[in-house]
Amino acid sequence: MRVRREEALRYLGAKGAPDAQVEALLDGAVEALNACAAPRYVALRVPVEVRGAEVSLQAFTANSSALAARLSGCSAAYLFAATLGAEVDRAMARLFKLDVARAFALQACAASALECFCDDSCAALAQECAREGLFLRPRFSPGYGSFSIVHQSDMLRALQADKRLGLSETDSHMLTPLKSVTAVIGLSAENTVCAVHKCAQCDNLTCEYRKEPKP
Amino acid sequence: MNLQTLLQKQLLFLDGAMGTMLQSAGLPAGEAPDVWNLTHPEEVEAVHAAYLAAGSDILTTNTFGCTAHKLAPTGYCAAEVAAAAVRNAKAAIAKAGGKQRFVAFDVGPTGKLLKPLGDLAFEDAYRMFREAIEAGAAAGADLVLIETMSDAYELKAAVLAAKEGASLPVCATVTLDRRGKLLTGGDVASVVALLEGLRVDALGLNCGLGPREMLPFLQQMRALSSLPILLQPNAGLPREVEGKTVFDVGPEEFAALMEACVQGGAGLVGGCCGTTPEHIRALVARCAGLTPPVVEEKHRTVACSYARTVCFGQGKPVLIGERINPTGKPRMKQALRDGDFDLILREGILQQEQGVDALDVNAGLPELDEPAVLTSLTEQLQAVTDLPLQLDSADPEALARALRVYNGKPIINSVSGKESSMEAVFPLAARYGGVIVALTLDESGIPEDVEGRIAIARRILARGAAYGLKPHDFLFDPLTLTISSGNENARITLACVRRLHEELGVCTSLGVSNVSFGLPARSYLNANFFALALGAGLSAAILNPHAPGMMEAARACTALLGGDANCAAYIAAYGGAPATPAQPAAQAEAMSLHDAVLRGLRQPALEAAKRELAQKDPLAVIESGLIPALNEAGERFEAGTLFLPQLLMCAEAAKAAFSAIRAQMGDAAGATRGTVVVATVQGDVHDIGKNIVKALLENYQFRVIDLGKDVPPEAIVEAAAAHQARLVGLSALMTTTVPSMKRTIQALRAQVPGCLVMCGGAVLTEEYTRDIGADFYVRDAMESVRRAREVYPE
Repeated sequence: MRVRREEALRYLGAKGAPDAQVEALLDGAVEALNACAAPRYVALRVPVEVRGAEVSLQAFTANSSALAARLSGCSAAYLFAATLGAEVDRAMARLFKLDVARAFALQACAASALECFCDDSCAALAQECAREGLFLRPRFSPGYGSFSIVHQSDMLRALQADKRLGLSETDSHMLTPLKSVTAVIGLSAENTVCAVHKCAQCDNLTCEYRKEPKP
Repeated sequence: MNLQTLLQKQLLFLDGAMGTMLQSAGLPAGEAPDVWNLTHPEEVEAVHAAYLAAGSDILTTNTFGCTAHKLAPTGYCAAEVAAAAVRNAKAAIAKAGGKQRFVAFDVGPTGKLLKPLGDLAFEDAYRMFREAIEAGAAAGADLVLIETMSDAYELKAAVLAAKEGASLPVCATVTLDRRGKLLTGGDVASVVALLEGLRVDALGLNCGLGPREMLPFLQQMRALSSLPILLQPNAGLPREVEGKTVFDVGPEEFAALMEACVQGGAGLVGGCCGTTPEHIRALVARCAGLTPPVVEEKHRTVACSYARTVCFGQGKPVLIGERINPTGKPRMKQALRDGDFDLILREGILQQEQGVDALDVNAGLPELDEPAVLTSLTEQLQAVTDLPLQLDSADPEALARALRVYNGKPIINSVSGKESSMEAVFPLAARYGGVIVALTLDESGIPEDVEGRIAIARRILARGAAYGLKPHDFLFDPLTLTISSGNENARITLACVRRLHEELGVCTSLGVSNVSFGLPARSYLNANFFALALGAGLSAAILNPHAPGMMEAARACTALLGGDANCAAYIAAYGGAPATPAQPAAQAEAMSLHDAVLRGLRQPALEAAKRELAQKDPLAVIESGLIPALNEAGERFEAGTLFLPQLLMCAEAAKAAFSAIRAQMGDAAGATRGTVVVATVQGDVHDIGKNIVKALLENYQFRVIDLGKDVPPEAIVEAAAAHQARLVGLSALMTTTVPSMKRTIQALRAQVPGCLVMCGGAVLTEEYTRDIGADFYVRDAMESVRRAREVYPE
């Protein structure tokens, strides 16, 4: 799987240039990840209607000004879900019993690999949409801003994610397997390539991994 | 005529998709089709009628989502929906008249992942399935069809619910991806082993793939299974077109592809997503005249985990690691008593890394609640290893409970020729499946001669047959006695192995190392006896993979006896250059314990600890070597010159050194610094931060009680009180689970006064932590160590 090493290193909390030992740790983690990851995604195109803060996505309606803002000007959107599969969870559980450094490195690589996989999947969707003159907006997930995490259930149901990806949620709407994502992706006729980085869209201003200057 | 008889004589045709048919009848997308059994019975009946007119012999009820969890948003209960669904199907059959038709009560997945991956308990899944199945059976269903399963554990829960909640034939099918895997791991071989162990009546595949993609997996299944196969593919692979899922294989093409599937071994055929009455009509027209495939007994002796299968008697000996057994292991005894399973789980993983194929699991200590401990150990081991387990107990209650929660088809260790033993174990094997280790001893003990042991084996086979157990369900152990007590002992055992193998045609297993008991240099005797036994046809051995010579003997004999094609496994093990350490040996040798730990080098740290232990008191090694190194690592981390991965590598190196120290100190080396309870709070499943905190605390000699993830407040309160912990560490990753953290703190305040609470997690801040009432905000793992040292000063 594709992994952005600098991203994985950041998740690992490694600052500055990694030494040979950390490099080796990362190499081992990438190898372990490739042995257990089974990446899959599913995307469903739905019409979008935005009325104030109310966003209708055919399969469900969400009341979220944050989502409404991100979908303003969009006539359609993708409901999107992706997972690296249950074996990654099992591998992490196994490694935590054996070697906590290796386990942590695997989780960092898996987090980066999931991001990469989502980016690559969205790039494929973007290519299809380009033929119709439509452009993809950034992914926006339930649980961020005012887009309530309870919509995780709606997303999973609409996508039949349990049947098609083996992806489900806990009673508190956490995705299982752990290395999974759901998101709404707006489609608009205008290529509003946001100058803002995706971190800038997040309300968690004190996040250690925030790439924008901290306030 | 009953279904099983009919199946021998002719192909049986099932129906096709239900949900999409109801949608074209007006069911809004996203609404639960199951509810229509009650609100729109005519429409449901009309779909059934269309399939009957197309030629279906078996109708599946409109109950794919009929479990408490999926129905929860609708307000309907599973039992009423189930009963209505069966009524609708039966009404359609009554109106159609004509030939005999059957109603299959359809069971789909719960839509939740089971623990430990998700948060649904195995027994809760079982109850949900059973509620629906009992109602369906009471309403008059003729069989149960469990389908679209993509998780082995959930599949097992559903099959048990069907077997125990009704007395109907049970068919079960799974969904594979294009690689032939279940969505949560597992493959055709493990599914066949699991389902045959659970004694279903037919098994197969449905959904996910079209008939073209399914055919090779069907053929694999046919080659392995001794049961009729049921196949319900989609009408090709799904495609999204303008927000709708479409399938491209039309009725005629579907029928032609399905003909190949019937020839490939499917005896019950129908369709899944995208198939319509037209598909079924074409299928019946094309295939009705075909003779049903002959189903042959495959005589395979096979055990499996959720994902991995071991097959006995196929040329390669099955190696079963014996290390998870408290006998003669004081540290393991203590760990079992304390409920601290990490040591044991590690031992399991280490044996796997040595190359064993299965793990024996024994928790037999007189002072333990063996049923509870063996069950818990089974659950925890199967969460971290995919090796099949050999559940080892003389207590039938312990076996029964562990067998029930086991995610796969285990090896059962053991039964003997004693009447009481057979009466206790055989029903368990018949109910849960399993390869049974059968010891050739009886009420009068172990016969001294070969003939006596073979006679017991024959008797066990005969008694087993009464429970439906076949010769290939057994693994006979003719018992290894030490040659120090009898010159002929090994020869007798070897002769038994040969006769069991050649005359009775059954598989065999031995606990090899008993042969050398009471003699010096046991490894020579053990390895050579093992080699001789393999030569005599031994199929499996219970052994210590860390013992010198055993793995070598296994690999060498497998190659010598033709079980290793092109000697590939032998070459893979020994063909490469010897493993080179990361540093030149001389340098590593010279490294002090302090340096090795600080540089995060495990092996050098272990060796340095051993060197220092030869000269110093163990406590001095800890005080003068380990602790200063850890402290320095911690300081560098806080100063920002050492980062988390390096800190964790230091922790691992220190852990390796501690293992050497503990080996020397024995029980006296228990953690001394005070107890910290750690947990990821209820509702949250992200436990990585908590695991890191735990690793570091243990390094600093704190005793850590790790309650895991998604832990309810009551459990945390109970543990804090029971262990008299003065510090509890709570973690949560998501903002949505922070309220759960607050509730936990309130409960601790009310019930365990004086216990301090530290909290950490990505979304927490100093201020937020104060608001929810915690004592400390810990921004990283090192800070949790600092807090713990404050709470428990030296």
